[in-house]
Amino acid sequence: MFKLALKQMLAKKKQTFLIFLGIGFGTMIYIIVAGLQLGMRAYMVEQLLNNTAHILISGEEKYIEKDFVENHLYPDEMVSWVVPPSGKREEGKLGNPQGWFEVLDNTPQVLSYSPRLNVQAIASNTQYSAGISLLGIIPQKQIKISSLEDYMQEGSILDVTGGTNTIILSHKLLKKLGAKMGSTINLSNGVDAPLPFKVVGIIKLGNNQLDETFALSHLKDVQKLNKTPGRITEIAVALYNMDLATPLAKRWKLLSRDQVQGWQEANQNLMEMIKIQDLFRYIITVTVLLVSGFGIYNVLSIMINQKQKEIAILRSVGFSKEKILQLFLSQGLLLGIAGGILGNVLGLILCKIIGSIEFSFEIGKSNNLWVSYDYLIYVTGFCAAVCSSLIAGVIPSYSASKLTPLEIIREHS
Amino acid sequence: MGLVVDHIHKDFGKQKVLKDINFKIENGEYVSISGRSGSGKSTLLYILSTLDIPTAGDVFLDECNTKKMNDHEIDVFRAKHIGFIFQFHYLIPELTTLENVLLPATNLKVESSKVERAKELLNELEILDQIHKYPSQMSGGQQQRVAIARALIMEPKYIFADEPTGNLDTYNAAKVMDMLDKINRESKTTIVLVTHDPDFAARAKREILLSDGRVVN
Repeated sequence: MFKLALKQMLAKKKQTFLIFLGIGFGTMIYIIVAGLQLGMRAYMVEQLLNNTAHILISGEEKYIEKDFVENHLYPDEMVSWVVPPSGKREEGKLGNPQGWFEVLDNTPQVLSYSPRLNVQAIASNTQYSAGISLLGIIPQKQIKISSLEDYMQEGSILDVTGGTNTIILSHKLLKKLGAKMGSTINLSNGVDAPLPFKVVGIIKLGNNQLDETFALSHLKDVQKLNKTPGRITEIAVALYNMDLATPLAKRWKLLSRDQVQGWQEANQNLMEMIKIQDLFRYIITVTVLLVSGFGIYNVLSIMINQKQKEIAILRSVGFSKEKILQLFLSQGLLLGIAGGILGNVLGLILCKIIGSIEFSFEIGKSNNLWVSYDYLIYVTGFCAAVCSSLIAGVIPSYSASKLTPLEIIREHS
Repeated sequence: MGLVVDHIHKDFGKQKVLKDINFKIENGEYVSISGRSGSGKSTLLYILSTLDIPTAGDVFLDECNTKKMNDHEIDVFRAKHIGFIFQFHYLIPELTTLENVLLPATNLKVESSKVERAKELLNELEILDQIHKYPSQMSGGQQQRVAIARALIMEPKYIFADEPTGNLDTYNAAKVMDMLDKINRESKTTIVLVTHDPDFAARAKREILLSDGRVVN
């Protein structure tokens, strides 16, 4: 039966080739679009995770409230404020970091975590000063939860060691300060006298805003600079499976008043954009299905019309309806498999070509587009091609199987 | 045993094509059904060969009532016991002579055991040299002989031939008729031949003459 199906298809070489190309190109387009979209998504997620984490646990934001001040300062008096008290009470800090460490150590889904102190500081070198966002980290822990090390232009994250006042500057900040590797800059918390820090590394994140303000130092040195020994503002957590961030964050929120945010919740705008991208990908998948499906439907319908006499003789020599259905359905299946393979191969080649194009602008670590080669893209593309071909083949094949030999013989005699 | 036709009628809407047909064909008999165009002879053949069912009455093939057989039983019966020869050969153009002849065997998955038989038949039909050719590379007479070989490959009990010489020249028509005589004589296959040619009809051992949907002899 399979041999006959193949022979019938080869007898209509032009038709078969065109529909084979149609399915192949449809699948290829899906693979390229999905590869680029998922590559871009991976890039955005990596960027975002470098700045945050899968889950970020940070101190509760406390604000000054009028009633609180009145009750504490003037418990038995009527107070009329000209300007009521307002604003943030203090830098958000974790109330019980040790408690969190215990929770994280006992959660099997946690790959690693990094306690951090995030402060605003003023960096100065000779005549120029700049406000910077200084992140105090424990390097050995930080490298386990993000790929920041990959973005180092010079030096290593491990070069910042506690008690040595060493710092890594983002490349544009370094330029603004007129500093270079090995030079010393002054850092101030804005209140106390500045402390000297030695530049031991340069980092380039590929994000303009961050590259102008970002700096890294050891947690202990940042605590010392900020005059807040032992303080941690956040714990960045990496999970084995980043998709578990939302449910875990939800569970942990119940444990304390600290803020616990999964990466999806912390970046809702980005997630919305990703959802829109996914929608586009699904639309393309459906389009591929429809184009392939219509092609197969047309080819099989024409073929069945032309093959009525053969169907009659097959039925009259005892071929069952099911076998006739199988004969034509297998042609759809063959076209779907061949087209799916062609689409996968062409898609992979074009993705490789697109991924190797050097652009004039930087995208993360390089000048190339991020292209995803996730095997699921190829499996989905192939399955879409095969399924659409099968589904489209069902109607004409079924109508062929319903033909009785007598109808056809009468028609042709 | 044999083929029993029990008071069959066939209507197409208000048109009565067959009226109370009643006869029996013994195993190994060679019977022709003849009559003018529109007398109902092809319709009768299609009913006898399970391709159609009567409006009323019954047909028994080897004591099985064809009306009571389900689709699967009919498919199996046709595959094993019936060979068809039509006016048009209905060969599969994408298959070679050998593959066309083996088609019923392919259906029953006994293809390999029938290759030698196919070659014998093609040799008897004097077209062994055409074994690897496609239908389009053969003459009409050769194509019809391939169709005969296909009808015989499973050594059926019954051969139903509907105007098998209708598209052939005199020489090839005579060859086909000789072949049918030989098959009946040597393998005792029951042959039911529909023809409007009185000479060919006369070659059968018994002739059933139809006129206006009734048997008149």
